[in-house]
Amino acid sequence: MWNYLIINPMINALLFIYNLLGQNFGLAIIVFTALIRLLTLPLTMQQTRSSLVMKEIQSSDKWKKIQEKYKDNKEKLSEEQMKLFQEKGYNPLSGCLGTLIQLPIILGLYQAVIRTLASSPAQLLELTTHLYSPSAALNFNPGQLIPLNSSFLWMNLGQPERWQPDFLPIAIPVLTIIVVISSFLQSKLTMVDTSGDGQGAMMSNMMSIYMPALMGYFAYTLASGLALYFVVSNLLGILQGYAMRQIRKSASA
Amino acid sequence: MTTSRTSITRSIRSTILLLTLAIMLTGCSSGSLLAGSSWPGLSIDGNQAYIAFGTSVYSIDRTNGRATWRFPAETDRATNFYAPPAPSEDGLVVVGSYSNILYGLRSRGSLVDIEWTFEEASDRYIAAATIVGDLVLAPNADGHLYALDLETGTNEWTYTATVGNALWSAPLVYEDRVYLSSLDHELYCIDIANGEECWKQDLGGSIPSTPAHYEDVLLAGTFGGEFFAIAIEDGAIRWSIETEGWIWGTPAVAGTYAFFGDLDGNLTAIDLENEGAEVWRQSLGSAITAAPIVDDENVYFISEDGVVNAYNQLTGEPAWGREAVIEGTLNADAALVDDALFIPALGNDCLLFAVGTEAGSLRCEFQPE
Repeated sequence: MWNYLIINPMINALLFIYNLLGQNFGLAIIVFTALIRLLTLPLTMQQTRSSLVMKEIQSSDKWKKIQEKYKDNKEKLSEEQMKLFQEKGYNPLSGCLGTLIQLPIILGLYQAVIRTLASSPAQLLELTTHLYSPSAALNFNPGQLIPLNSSFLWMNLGQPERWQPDFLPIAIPVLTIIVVISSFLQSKLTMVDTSGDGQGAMMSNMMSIYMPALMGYFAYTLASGLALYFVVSNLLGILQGYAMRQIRKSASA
Repeated sequence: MTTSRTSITRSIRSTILLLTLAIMLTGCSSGSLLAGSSWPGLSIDGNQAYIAFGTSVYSIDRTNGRATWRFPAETDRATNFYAPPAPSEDGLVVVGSYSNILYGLRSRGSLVDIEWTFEEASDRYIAAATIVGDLVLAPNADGHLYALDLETGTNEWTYTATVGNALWSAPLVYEDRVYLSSLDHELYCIDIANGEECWKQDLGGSIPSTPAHYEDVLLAGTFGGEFFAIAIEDGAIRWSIETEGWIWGTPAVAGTYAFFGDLDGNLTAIDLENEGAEVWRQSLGSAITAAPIVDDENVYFISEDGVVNAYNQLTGEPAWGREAVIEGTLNADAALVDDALFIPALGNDCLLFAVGTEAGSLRCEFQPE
């Protein structure tokens, strides 16, 4: 089911784009990531919108009154909160949906990138089980595209990325550095402002450190094709976050 | 307080997402997705069988099914071997690793000396080396064919076929030329004396295995769904036929017939004197990557799901009362010695099976300790 719904369409879409873009797998990953971002845009917009509504609710007098009035009765407090949510048309689960839907997409893309860059006989044989039949109408014959050209700029997209120019004694993980910085910027841009709130601010700050560190670890150890996906996805996320902030600012002005 | 609770909830949600992602990504990375895995590589020289699989290369005495030596003596998890070892006439065994190193090994009883190593390749050795006289021809996945001196392992010449992830099959040597299949869709002809290219021919799809030779043509199947006969002299395509599925294994030739299997599980016999006209076809229902094997009468096919069967070369009728079934995955090329097929298996405690050609009787030939 996972293969049928996620992996196979992603692998074939990647190959199709790869073919369209002159058999450049780096460009194919960039374009494919942008398309995936575009497809999931309604979900991420919904997430951000729901955060804004939640923030509005929390800053309302009614919310504060409820907190004060039922501070010793958690059951009643919860009931009143839910009523307020309903009044404002806020669904507490709507934020989770985007997160949940993104998870299989990220995993699917990761697996699609790794599988298409098959670098051993067992991997290549496994890849053949995911490919669609040739289509003359689409000018798409996966059998003629294998093996993919995994070179992109200075990288082999099937291997972890390191850049070592002649004048440097050590190799630099350029993509990892970009992933860490862009993840940090993205988390700062998309995180709801929690300044002045002790515990919440601490948790948010911790997340803005842990998340880039974890993404950096993935970028450092896994195939650079995936790191390229992280970079593109983060940059688009930063753009989106910036745009949303601007919209919020102009709406509240 | 309330903002704090919401932030904590959001943070917990993000943490769960990240942790799940971390577990799944790292879980995948330690599995088949990133692991440089393949199936065992087998070669047989007289009573000695050589099998490369995972962290070890085994030399097996076929008379008792015991390992006479294992290389390396101490397991190194970072070094893996899947390319079939190539034994020379004077007892040197040449084998390449997935750590980009080609070894020249010589045994002293149960001990193995490394006579030389060649470390200039930048990618894995997936294909077996071919030894011709004093020359070792070692294709590497980095797209180069390295010709080395057998005694010293020094580089005599290098032919650059393509860049990256391309040369996965052993070269075929005929007279003074080397014929090399590539995943980059090309079939190359190289002068064995100096590594100069004589010709190359684009077959429109990856060619994962060594071509077969029949009179004045080379025979090769591709991932483009075609089977070709190519003039050995100048690389011109004499004829081609479309195939049901993609072809992985080297075709086998007996008389005027060629036999090949495909990834859709079809096994096909064609007439080479009639531009590849189909003679018969059977379906095994599971992918066939191993090269078929022929003897005087039968052709033997091995499918991925563990089925081994014999078919009459002329009629395609099954030759055994029932097929032999090996528990495990069978992708590797097998070898026919005397009256038994030696078949490496994946996913079975027994690494090497012997199947009698008379009636398909099955026995385990070698089980690593």
